[in-house]
Amino acid sequence: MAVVTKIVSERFEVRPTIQREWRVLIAIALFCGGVGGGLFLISQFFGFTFGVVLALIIVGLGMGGAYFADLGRPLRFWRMLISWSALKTSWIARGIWGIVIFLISGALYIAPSLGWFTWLPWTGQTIAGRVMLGIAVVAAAWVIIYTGFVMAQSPAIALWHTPLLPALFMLYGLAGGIDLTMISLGALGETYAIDVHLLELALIILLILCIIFIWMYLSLMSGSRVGAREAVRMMTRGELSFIFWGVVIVVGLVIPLAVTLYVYFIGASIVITGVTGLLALMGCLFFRYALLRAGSFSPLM
Amino acid sequence: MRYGMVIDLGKCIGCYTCMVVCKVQNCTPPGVFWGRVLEKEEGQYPSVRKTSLPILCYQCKEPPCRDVCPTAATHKREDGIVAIDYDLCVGCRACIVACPYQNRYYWGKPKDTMYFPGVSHPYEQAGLEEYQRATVQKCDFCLNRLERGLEPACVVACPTQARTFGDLDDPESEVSRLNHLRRGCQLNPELGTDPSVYYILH
Repeated sequence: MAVVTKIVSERFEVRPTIQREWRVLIAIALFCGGVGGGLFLISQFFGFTFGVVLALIIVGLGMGGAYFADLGRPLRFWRMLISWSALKTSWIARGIWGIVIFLISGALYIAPSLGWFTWLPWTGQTIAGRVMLGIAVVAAAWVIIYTGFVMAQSPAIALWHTPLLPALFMLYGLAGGIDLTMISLGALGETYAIDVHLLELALIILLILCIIFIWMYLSLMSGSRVGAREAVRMMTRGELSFIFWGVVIVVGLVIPLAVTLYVYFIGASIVITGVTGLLALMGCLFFRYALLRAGSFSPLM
Repeated sequence: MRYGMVIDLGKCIGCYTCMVVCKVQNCTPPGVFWGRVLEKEEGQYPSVRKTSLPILCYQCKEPPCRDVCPTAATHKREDGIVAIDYDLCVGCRACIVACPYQNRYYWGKPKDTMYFPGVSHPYEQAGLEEYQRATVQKCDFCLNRLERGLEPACVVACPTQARTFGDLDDPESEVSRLNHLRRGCQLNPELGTDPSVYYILH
């Protein structure tokens, strides 16, 4: 008996067509890269060793694992590291190198701080350690922001083709890093020499900036090509509106902002900010998912 | 040399011959159509107009698919054709997302069904052996025919001879003269891709 292969009718119609290639796994990879890189930067700033190690794990296993699972031919992934001609133009190739450099330099930097590697001939205070730290910091920022450039490089999908996207990813990455730090502090129940008050202030600023930038982004896209306008409609009034308004905006930004403002001015247990950090991370993840899900090609005629 | 094509939309009758002959010639996998014909209806009865737009890979001079490819599997040949080296493709599908004309296709992992599961024609098997699962593929202007001095199958098979193929860099070639005289236009030139396929509008 013949089985009718599903032929996507959109391929023959003239209307905005949503992209179907990058979905959940890529959303997870983008999310892990953003919050992992952000966590490394925040943790390094505050001397939070646990956060540094967690960041490396999130980027290595979370981001790397998701990418690996998404590739059609994952065992060929090493080819992305050896093509110099691709490195000149492909943000994916540049990003993969950034991830590798981040993981190696970050691991080498933090290793002497861990009990098993005290025999290594450098520490965080030696010149070699500081060089590795500098490289890791730059690479962490690269890991956060390159994902925005990967999406922005595509001229086909107007919703992504804007420099606002890398900026938004950087804001979300840093905010996600602070969220993870709060969650870690709340879960560990130990006292680190971390100025939590400063963390809360930074988070408030970042969340406000995220809201402003998202508003600017959607306003800009509302006047862009047909594909972008259709994507904005999907996100704000269509099939993705619950995810966007409910999860990304309310759960991911408004509630965390309100709670953090309360905690900053009134004061409360760090566990509360840790819990809202989880909500914010959920918003961060679903923002990326909504962007991928709504990405549409403009009609050809 | 830059291979290109001119398609006269006044001659195109939307018969889908080009689409079918492409599938026969290249034995593309189920659900993969290197050449397609888009149709658009405009107006209301009784003033209705239907436009058929044959599309295929435009072998762009500035292909965004090549720029995003992390392994350089997608590369531009000296004759202007944008080709894919299947051995290098990792299946990231960045090129599919980058192509503004949606003319690239991903032949997925073995869980994708064939048209007739359990019944595979030897011709179908032989044709599909050329491709690799979980990689991206697209129109290549029938490279195997070009190497034998033949024109692409869609050009030859078109019953109204709506397609003209040749070297766009040769001003004396039929395709260049036709493009110049009839003022062929590209699809979405504002994207900066500089396609090698032109359309003659009516």
